[in-house]
Amino acid sequence: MTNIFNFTSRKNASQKNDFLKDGSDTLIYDRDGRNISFDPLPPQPVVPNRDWSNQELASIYGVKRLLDAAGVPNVLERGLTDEGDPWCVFCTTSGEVFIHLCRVDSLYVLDSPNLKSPLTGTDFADLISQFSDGALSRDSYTAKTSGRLIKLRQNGKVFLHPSIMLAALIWSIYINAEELVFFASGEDQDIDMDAAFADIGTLAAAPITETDMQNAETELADFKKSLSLHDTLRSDDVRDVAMAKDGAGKMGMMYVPNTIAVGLSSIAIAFGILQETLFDTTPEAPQIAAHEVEGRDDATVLADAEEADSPRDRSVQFDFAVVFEAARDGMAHMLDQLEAGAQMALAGERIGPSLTLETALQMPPVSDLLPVIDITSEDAAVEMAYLPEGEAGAENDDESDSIAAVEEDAPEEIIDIAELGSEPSRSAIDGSEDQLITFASLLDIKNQEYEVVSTFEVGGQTFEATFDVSTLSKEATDLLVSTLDNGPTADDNRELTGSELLLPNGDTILLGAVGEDDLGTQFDPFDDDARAFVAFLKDQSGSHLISGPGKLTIVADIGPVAPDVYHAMTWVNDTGHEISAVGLKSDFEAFDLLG
Amino acid sequence: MLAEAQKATPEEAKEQRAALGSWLKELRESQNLSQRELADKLSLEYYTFISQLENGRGRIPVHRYSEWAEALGQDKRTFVRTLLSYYEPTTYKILFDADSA
Repeated sequence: MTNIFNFTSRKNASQKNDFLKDGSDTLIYDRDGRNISFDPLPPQPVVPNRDWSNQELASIYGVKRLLDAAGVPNVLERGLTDEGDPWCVFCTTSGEVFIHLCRVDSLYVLDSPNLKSPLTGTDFADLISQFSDGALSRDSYTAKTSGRLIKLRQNGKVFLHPSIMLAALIWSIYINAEELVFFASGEDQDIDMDAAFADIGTLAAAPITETDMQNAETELADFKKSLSLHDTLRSDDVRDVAMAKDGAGKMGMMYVPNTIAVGLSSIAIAFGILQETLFDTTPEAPQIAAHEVEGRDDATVLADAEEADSPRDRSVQFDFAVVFEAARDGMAHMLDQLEAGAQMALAGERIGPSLTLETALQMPPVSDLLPVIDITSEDAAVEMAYLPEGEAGAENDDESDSIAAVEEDAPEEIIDIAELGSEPSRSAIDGSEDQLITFASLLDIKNQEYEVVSTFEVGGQTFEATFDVSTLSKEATDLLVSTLDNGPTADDNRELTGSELLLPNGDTILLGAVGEDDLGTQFDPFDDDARAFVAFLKDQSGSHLISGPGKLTIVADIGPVAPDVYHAMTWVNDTGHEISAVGLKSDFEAFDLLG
Repeated sequence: MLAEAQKATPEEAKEQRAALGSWLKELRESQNLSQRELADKLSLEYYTFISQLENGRGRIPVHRYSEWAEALGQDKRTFVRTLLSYYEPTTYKILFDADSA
């Protein structure tokens, strides 16, 4: 297959949108004498300052609904800066901010008093990856401390609705608060995980309602009426954050996790957000009998922050058995239920991403930053991986035992992180910055990273897709077909060299005629923005590929949005090979590819 | 007893912080600073925090009071005293009401 797209490597590329993409770009903060250097980021579109998009708002309010349902009293407020950058905060009912989320210069920033530094990323998956990579502030989460991280996934690939992912992240940050005290559900408590995951899917994907948009006063009043819990976040954080809590306000959170909470915890585990040690009952975190807690006879207290004074101690304890079993046994079922819930919520004019969660299981993992355990299949091994540690040993053995006790059927395998480090990361597969993005390289990515799950015919040609195209909505199918069927053939292209053909459902831009042997310059007529856009889509989490004879389409994970926000564009060169992109119209606009 | 420890109702606290936010915004604008410029002066990691504060959410970290006063061109003692009147009105009354009377 001839290489068609010979993109300039990022290091040498001259693009309009190069903020923080060059290795020499450094953000320096002189507070506390710290210098923080950001690693180069993939190309990002410069999106004009604007309020949260409908899709972003849907995700944010989906998070709020999930937190509400999980029993986390919270108030959501949002605003715009004087430059028009959007932000929102999740507050406790006492007004303390425990999550600040904003989008500045196309980057999301999420901060919490419980984080040692803000999380930044181009999407929510990036935030989760960064969080999983050790953003927690407490000593117990530093690299020097032993701690087992667990991820569940099926076939190594997990995908969930952005709201669910973000909710799981915020939930995880929330329950990591030092002073929190959890009243875990008893073993005899019957948790209907099917219903829980269905509810999570519905809550996450439901469209924004007027109720969602009620002002803070109304929400606050509602919460006050129903509030029976007190929550707080750690207050001894000296970092310069918005959410530092005053010392006088320390209160332990008494909490009875409901099914939504357990479901979110399961998802958080599945994404590697939560550490299993959070759920480990250690001698330093003595259990308290239920009767010792006034008014909580039905709860089992697994930990008490007042008595946990070791830095290693967890004030947050949970019924690990419930969560772990739910995560293991319910993962596949959960995804089905989530999909069912999402489809219900999306019924009507909205179209989903047209990827069922079943097929989404074939998608790449959100993050390969951490080792993974795969315990979703019956015969899957349980792989326990450890953070870099100085003292692996008995403690870990104990933790392994606790896991084994929970899941006796699953064979257990301990894998050192050093061994796992030899596994090819996704970035390695994607290639370094120096790797050229060509038609062939994209095909290689498809073959290496995806299990082709379906073949189909368009215009007498057979295509392979990394997802089940039969699940597509009619609108999405039409749009995709336009990229596969309407483009000119090689012969067509030669007749139309140098011209431009606009298609009804998308744009096809023919590249200028150049010699086939001159791969290094054949894309000179091709706009840098188009090249950057293809790279942008390629690197997006959840993007998919469709390939056929001489044609390859990159489909962005654009979530459940209305059809009119999709756009498709095809680029063709004089060899007749085409690379198409289907994504959000706003992203095309951001790369100056429209109008 | 614990309930009595609450310094103010959430509504009251919100009103106080909203008023404080407006005051901070006035100070910033009087210095001809944009939110981003003020954040830069304070070496904040994200300038949306300024907007958040000016909208009455969150509070200035105690250990940054002096820097905020300086960035906004205010006398430190006066600035902190005003902050206290919003953040801890009861404490403020006990400490300063007699002085002002």
